[in-house]
Amino acid sequence: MTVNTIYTATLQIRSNDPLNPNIGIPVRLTVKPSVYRLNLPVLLR
Amino acid sequence: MAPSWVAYDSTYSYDFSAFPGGSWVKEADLIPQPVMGAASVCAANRIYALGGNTNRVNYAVNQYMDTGLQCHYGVNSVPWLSILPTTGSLPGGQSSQTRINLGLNAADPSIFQPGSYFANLIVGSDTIFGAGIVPITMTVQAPASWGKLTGVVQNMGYCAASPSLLNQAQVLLEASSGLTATLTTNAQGVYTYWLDQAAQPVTVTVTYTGLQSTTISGLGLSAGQVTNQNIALHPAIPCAQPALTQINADVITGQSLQIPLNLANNGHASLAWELFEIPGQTGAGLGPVLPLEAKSSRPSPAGYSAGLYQPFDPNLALLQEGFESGSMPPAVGRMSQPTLCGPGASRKLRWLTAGLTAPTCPGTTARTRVAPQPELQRHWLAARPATSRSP
Repeated sequence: MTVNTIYTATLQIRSNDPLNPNIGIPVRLTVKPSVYRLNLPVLLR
Repeated sequence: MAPSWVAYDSTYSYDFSAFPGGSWVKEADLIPQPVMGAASVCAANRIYALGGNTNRVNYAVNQYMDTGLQCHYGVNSVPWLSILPTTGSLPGGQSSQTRINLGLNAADPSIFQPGSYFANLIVGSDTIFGAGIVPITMTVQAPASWGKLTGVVQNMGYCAASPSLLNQAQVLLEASSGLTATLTTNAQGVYTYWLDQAAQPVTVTVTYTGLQSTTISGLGLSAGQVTNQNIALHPAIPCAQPALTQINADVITGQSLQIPLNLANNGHASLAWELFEIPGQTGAGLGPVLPLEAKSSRPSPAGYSAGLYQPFDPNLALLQEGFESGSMPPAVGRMSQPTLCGPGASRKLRWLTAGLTAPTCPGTTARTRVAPQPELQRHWLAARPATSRSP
């Protein structure tokens, strides 16, 4: 996965619920950079 | 043989100027659908009822009873009422009177519950002015040792989210004494029955077509007291309800994240489920996630086909099935525009048969495509317009 990138997907629940057989749950994932790499220059000062 | 009701839809008339001769004549006009109930007195071998409600039974047609008798209800037609004498004569030419003794018998087997019982005493005579009617009401009090069992029956609806009063539900009472009684709820969902407290405990079973039956045992009774037992029935279908409607997460590169998703079944039948992962878009400048869930007010017809459009184009997202209206779009293979306006603004698809509408929320509009065979269309594909696609 790429840093600073948003990934989206849908988690779909299919069931025998006759009135709601398909439920979609949007998934939004943001990949953040590592905290260690961000703070390291500050700690070295 | 007891007289029985016969449906009819015609009108008869009688010309009283021909009395005591003459006869009933059938009129040309038909009687409309019954709107009220009114069983009248004897009328030339026929007792009429215009629909209505009798003894907890709804009649949807006009009826009459006719067994060829002069008057169907004789002196023994009302079992709890006795009359003496039943015939007599009064001299003319002066005011005279006679005494008729009426007996009201609440010990008759037909009287098994407290309440009001009604009858009409019809005084027939050989005058041309017809019969006199004396309404009789007998009010029966409950014995001192009896208690009243009553309650309201409700249909809790899908996911127990829409309770409503249940009319005509069948209520079976089973007492420890061996007594059983079958009742039906009224329009307010109420059932009521009096029982001797010695009959306790009582088991109540409520049934209704399409709903799961409910049984409650061990109900007690107290003399002179009211025992309230409301009963809720549920549809015998599952109800899938995930705890999350969307998932937004930040993950540090190189690490992983676990997010629990609780799926509840708030219905009254077993829930069988399976999960699918559907790829979406990837990019740095994506806008808000489309509200992908669009619920239908109608169940999915048979013929559901999973993965009809997989694999997906990266710029396509899957919308759930469903039309806001109750019918399929008339066009085949045409394009239309759902009103998806950002997260939370609208979570329902609306099928517009009159053509496209201008997007009200730029960047969150979507197109839908209808397959060439719309009756098999279960998946809607929403594509972000070019202006909001990731660079």
